[in-house]
Amino acid sequence: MISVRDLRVDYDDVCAVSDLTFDIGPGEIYGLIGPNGAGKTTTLRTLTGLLEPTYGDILLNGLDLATDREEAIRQVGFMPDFSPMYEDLMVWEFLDLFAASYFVPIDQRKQLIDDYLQLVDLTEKRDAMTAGLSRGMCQRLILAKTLLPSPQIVLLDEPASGMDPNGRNLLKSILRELGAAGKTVLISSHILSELSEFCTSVGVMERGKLVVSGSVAEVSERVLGSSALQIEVFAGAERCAELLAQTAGISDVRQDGNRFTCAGAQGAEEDAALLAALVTAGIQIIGFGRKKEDLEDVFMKIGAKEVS
Amino acid sequence: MSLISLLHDNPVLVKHRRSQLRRQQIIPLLAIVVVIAGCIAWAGLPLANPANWRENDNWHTALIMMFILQGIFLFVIAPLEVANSAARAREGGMMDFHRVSPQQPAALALGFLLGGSLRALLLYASTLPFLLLLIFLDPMPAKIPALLLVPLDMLISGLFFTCAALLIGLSVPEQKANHAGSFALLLVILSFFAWMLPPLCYLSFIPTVLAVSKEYSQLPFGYSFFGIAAPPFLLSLLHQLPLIGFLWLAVERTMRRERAFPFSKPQALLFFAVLGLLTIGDLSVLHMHHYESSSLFGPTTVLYVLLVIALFVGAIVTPRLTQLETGVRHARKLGLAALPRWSDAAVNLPVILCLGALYLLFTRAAFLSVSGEEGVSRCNMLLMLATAVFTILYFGLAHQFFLLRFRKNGFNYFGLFLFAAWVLPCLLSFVAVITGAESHTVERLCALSPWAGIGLSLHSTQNTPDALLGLLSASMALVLVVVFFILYRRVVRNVTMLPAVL
Repeated sequence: MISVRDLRVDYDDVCAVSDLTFDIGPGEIYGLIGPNGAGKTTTLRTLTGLLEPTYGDILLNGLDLATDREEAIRQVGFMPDFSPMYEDLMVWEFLDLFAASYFVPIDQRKQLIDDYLQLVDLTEKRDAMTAGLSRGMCQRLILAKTLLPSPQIVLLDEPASGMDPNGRNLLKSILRELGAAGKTVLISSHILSELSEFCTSVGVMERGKLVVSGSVAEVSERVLGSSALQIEVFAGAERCAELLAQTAGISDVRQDGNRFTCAGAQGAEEDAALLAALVTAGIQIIGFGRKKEDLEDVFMKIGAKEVS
Repeated sequence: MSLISLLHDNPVLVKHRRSQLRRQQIIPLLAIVVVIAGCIAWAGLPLANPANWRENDNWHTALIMMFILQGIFLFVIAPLEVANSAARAREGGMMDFHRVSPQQPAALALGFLLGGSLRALLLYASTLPFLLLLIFLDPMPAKIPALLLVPLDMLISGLFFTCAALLIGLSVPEQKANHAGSFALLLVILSFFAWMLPPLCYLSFIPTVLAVSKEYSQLPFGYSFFGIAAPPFLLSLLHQLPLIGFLWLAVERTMRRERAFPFSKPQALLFFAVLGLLTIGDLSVLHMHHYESSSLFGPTTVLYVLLVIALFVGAIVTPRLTQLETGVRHARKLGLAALPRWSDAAVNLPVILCLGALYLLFTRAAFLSVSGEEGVSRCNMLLMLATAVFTILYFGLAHQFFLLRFRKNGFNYFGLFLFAAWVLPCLLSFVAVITGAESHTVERLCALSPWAGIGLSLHSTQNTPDALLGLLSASMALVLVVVFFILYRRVVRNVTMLPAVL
């Protein structure tokens, strides 16, 4: 469980994060999105205790980061947006370093390391030097290092950057498993289409502030309004236009040949009734549905501009 | 937390053991070192020249060569590797991983300190049997116990420099991380050059070596502390152990948080007090200095050395604007009316006032110890001390003012101010000399800079009335104290009026 209240973080001349308040519960996968310089990385680094907030309260599993730092950060696994590495270590030695750092008993380490190497598909590289790993492999190794102490809270900053499609699929399945296991996951990413697939909730940051927060559907609704209804007919376009104009709740009908786009916040029931009416009127429908808005649209609407 | 628990399964230490002691890398190195050490030892053995071994210098030369070889490992390679290791971990981001792990900062620091120097220590250890062989073959067996102290002193001295190197590695700006090792090396070289000055010579093991060397009778100074004769090894310990303690404190604080102050304000004052005591304790040695031309040499050295240290200590606890603002807002959030005076983020005024008082205490004691020996008028001495104390005050106030008023550029403007206050008067007096100005004009111009003014006010000259130079120097310093106190108060008031939440 992450609980943040009135968080403010200042650099020399810059207020990087301001008035940030949010809660992320167990089992929740919270996606933090926003343009570069919005304050996402600063937020994550402050949650790990690497940056000292100007003020504000951070509770990690109920432990106050300001007063109970050592216990609080024991709960956290952190993966930064780049892959720091000791290049003079072997892959297994690198994981062993972190197993020891988190006080995993010596007799359990070998098995644990093998398990996590298997999880991130790096078993074959067990005895390779980390200097020889590709960027995607480094990301996977860092992911393994992050999860190895089995933290209750997982903070991931752009974890998919540099990963190939297989790596991304792996990441998605791991994140889903973490959520199912009741872990609290906070992830910042620019790969928004993928975030919407596994995030249970999202927050959008801009200029250091959390502009909107909630489930993906709620955020889309609040940012973009209700999604447009799109209809495509094979024949009977004129009749269709007449009927749409007469239907209550439908507005702003735009016709482009045999395609119609209409605004209007109708529920599924009303949409079904409209479809039935159009079919009954003899209009041959070949496409009917609401455009599925995704996080990319939300991102573009709120702050596609570069802040930094 | 005990040393054993910090060392047991220390992840950073294990990391360094794995990366530094890979068999294919360390075995060739060990072989080279063992061969070199063996050759040196062979040269010093009676086997090489049994006929006149006792009469010639072979044994002595071999011993010195062995110390030099060991010194390379302990004072060059170990600090270099530790500074580079810490700086690389910071630059690459690995240090962040260590900081967010549940490991104690002390365990991490110990890991870097011992781990970073592991290879150098192993190479050093490989030469020890040869050194011991040479020691036990000493032509003068009575000196063997004293000689056995040398490796111990070298290790402690090496620990001091390695701690300093670790602090450099943790503190050097990230863009200069590649140079961390060079900075550490520079510190070692400078410290060794300073071996001739008693308060500094104890930072190296040289006094212990000299004490058992053939040149013992030619030493420029004796070994005593507060006038009590003591073996050089003990004096080295007395000087190095407190400094290692303070370095360790700074390392631990910096390891805990990247932008932490190396000392809290009370710790900084204690650091200054300890250095002051050590310097005063060595004053008696300075009195005996054979190339000393005046009995004021000792107190004047103390005065300048402590002035530099006081300015440095004041500077390292001076907060930047962001730190002060953060502290003020944090205090407000906690319901406090003001930021506690001795908190890390608080302004530096209490510290510089205490530094000024401590400085006055130490330097007064230093001059009292030679009173009656040489004619320095009471008035001149007071003016000189006033100049030095006012310099500490205005340096601290100006530093704080510029950092608070000009944010990022504060340090540059502060440097400009110091140039104007310290260097410009000397430059102007140099120009006056070239243009043929009268000597009293040159002296008066020069006295406006405290560094020259302190020295000038100590010695009255033929051309200048007795106290005039001291008066000029002290007045200039006092004016700067008043000016910067007014400016400082104004800028601090603006910051401390900040609301708790913006």
